[in-house]
Amino acid sequence: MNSKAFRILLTLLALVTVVLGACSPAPAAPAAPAATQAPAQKSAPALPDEIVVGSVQPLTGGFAVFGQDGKLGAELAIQHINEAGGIKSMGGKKLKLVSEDAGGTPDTAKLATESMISKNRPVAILGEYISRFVMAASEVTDREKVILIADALVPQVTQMGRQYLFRPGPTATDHGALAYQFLVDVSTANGDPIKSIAVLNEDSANGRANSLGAIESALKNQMPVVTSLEYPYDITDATQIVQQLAKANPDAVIHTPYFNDAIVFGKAFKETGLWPKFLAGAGACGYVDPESIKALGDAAEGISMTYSYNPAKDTPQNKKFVEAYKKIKGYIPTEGAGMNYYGAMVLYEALEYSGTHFPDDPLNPENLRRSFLALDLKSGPAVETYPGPQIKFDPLGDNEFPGTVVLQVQQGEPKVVYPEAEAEAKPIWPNSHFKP
Amino acid sequence: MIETTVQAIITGVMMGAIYALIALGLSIIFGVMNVVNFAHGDFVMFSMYLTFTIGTLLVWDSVQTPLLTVPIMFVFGLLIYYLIIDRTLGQFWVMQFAATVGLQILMRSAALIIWKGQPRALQYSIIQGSIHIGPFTILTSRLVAAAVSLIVIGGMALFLNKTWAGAAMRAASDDLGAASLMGVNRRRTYGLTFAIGSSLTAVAAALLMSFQQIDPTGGMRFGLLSWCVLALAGLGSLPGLLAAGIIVGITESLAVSFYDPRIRPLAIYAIFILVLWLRPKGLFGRR
Repeated sequence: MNSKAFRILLTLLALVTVVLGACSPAPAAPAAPAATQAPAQKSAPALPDEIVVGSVQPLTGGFAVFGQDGKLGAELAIQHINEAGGIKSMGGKKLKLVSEDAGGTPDTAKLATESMISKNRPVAILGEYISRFVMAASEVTDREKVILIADALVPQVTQMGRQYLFRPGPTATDHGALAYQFLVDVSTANGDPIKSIAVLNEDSANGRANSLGAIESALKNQMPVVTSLEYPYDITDATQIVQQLAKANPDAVIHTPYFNDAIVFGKAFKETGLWPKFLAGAGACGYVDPESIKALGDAAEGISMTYSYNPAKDTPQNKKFVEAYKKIKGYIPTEGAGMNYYGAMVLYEALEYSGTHFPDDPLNPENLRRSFLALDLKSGPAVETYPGPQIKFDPLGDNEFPGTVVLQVQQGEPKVVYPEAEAEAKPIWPNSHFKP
Repeated sequence: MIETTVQAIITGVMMGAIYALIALGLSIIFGVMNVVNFAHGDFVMFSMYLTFTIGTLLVWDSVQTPLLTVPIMFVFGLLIYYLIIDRTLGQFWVMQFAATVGLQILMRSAALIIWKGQPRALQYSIIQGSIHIGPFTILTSRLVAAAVSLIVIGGMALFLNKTWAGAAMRAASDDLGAASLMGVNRRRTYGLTFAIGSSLTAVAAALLMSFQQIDPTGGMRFGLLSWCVLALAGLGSLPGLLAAGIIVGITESLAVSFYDPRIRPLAIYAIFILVLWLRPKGLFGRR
């Protein structure tokens, strides 16, 4: 074929592709939603064979370590719900989990959410761990009237007027406040009450919200905050910041990292030897998860971290989850896994409620939303895996009873050490690397 | 104030020497072959993962790993040269651009498949530690890394000036046509250049992994950094490369100490743009 003919052929092919692309209907979109979006009062639409639930998590890129865990948590929850007989109020309907990769930016997260909804039309989506991903994706889920069960911490996530967004877990501010309270309690209990703190965070909305929570609590108690430092999360060398911290000489440092930067800082503290008396993490990322401990080795010892999930909670459902997770991963569930597990369990409770109270059309988004708002859980699988005593959503979609615990690395293992009632081990004070 | 400045300069000089080593491979490849290797940062990333894997599997210290990673990266460089780069030479420049950018994506994706999305770090290195002199802290890992960088850059200068292969590389860099007439085999010289450039990243990787971690997107940072150092240095001067690395190191260190850690990339790229604007051939460039 000569080149001119080849070019014409290519042009034609391109044209055909474009035309076909433009003409073909968006797959699956029109058929399914017609049923679910019907007003609640009209004749009952038939329930699908399986109730589709979506999981949109960062499975690649810098946040993949969290997303992979979150996806597995959701998978196990769905498996356990199905094994226990599915949604009983809907005749034992089974759940089916479909997954999509949110990628590494809010844009890719939003696209993934669009794709998830147009392809699968799930009743709810679990995810997307990074707060700015959730904020971007919630625009889509609200428009499409799909429930989004968020596992992200930034307070503003639920303050954007979204109708279909629910967050069972605590906020970043709760995390920061708990990290502070933990420091005060454990130092006082050891006869060595702290007299000042420094806060340090990566400069995303999440990092800042955690630090603000800690600073607010400190100021309320007239505790001096000697310095507050921010840095980009892709930082490669933290020695200068560690030196600045040492110069400010606080009794304890509250640090909100992601994963990468936690390793950078852990190594910098170790190498310079400039350890604070106590390094308390906030915001649940880095330091105490198995991968961080592996990367940091001895440097991780004694560092604490606030968590939106309590792997040591002594309930049958939680034990079942921890065991199943351990079998696959070889270590206890991380925060992302735990949040998605109880997130899916909250969805289960809402589906049961909807099946009971809106039997005509339980999967109608409006009915499902009402069911979430009507939940007041004090027992059952969701509460059994939640780090608090109760789950009840306020009109914004936040849990009125947010629960948070503190983990500390003790002999290479993450142990729940605070609050005392939930603890499996006593906190160790001060950090063993600290040299007065 | 003075204390902070001195500390920042100490840190900056040490990091700068390492930056020069990171940029060395890029400089040689660009200088000799006139090939713009957009994947250079990803060669560093790949080498760092190799360092991690060998360090973990054989329980070797990061600084021992070049014994294996340098030969591996040398062969890898040779393969990439003969399979990809060689075929793009003499073609329209867009071909090289597309090939090396493609290579970058390929390496990043391969790293993601092999090592997953998680950052990896070696727990311990024999060169970790710190020396405290008065109010100043010198990290031994950075000090050793800087010293090794100096030695490698010096060794490279000797190689280029004192050996026949080095002379061939310089000749090919200056005038490929004339060099070919003098018996310099273009393909062999270019292959050697690319392989050396590739294996140098393994040395840098061993030093970096003694105090850093790596993730699949880490190549981007090293790539941009290398370009900045190279632009500042200009082509054809190894002492110039070292000086440029140190200028970049000190600049970022001072910026971080006196302003904010977030200013680091801005400081580096401000230099980059200034140099391109005021002195496009670089501060020390021969051409």
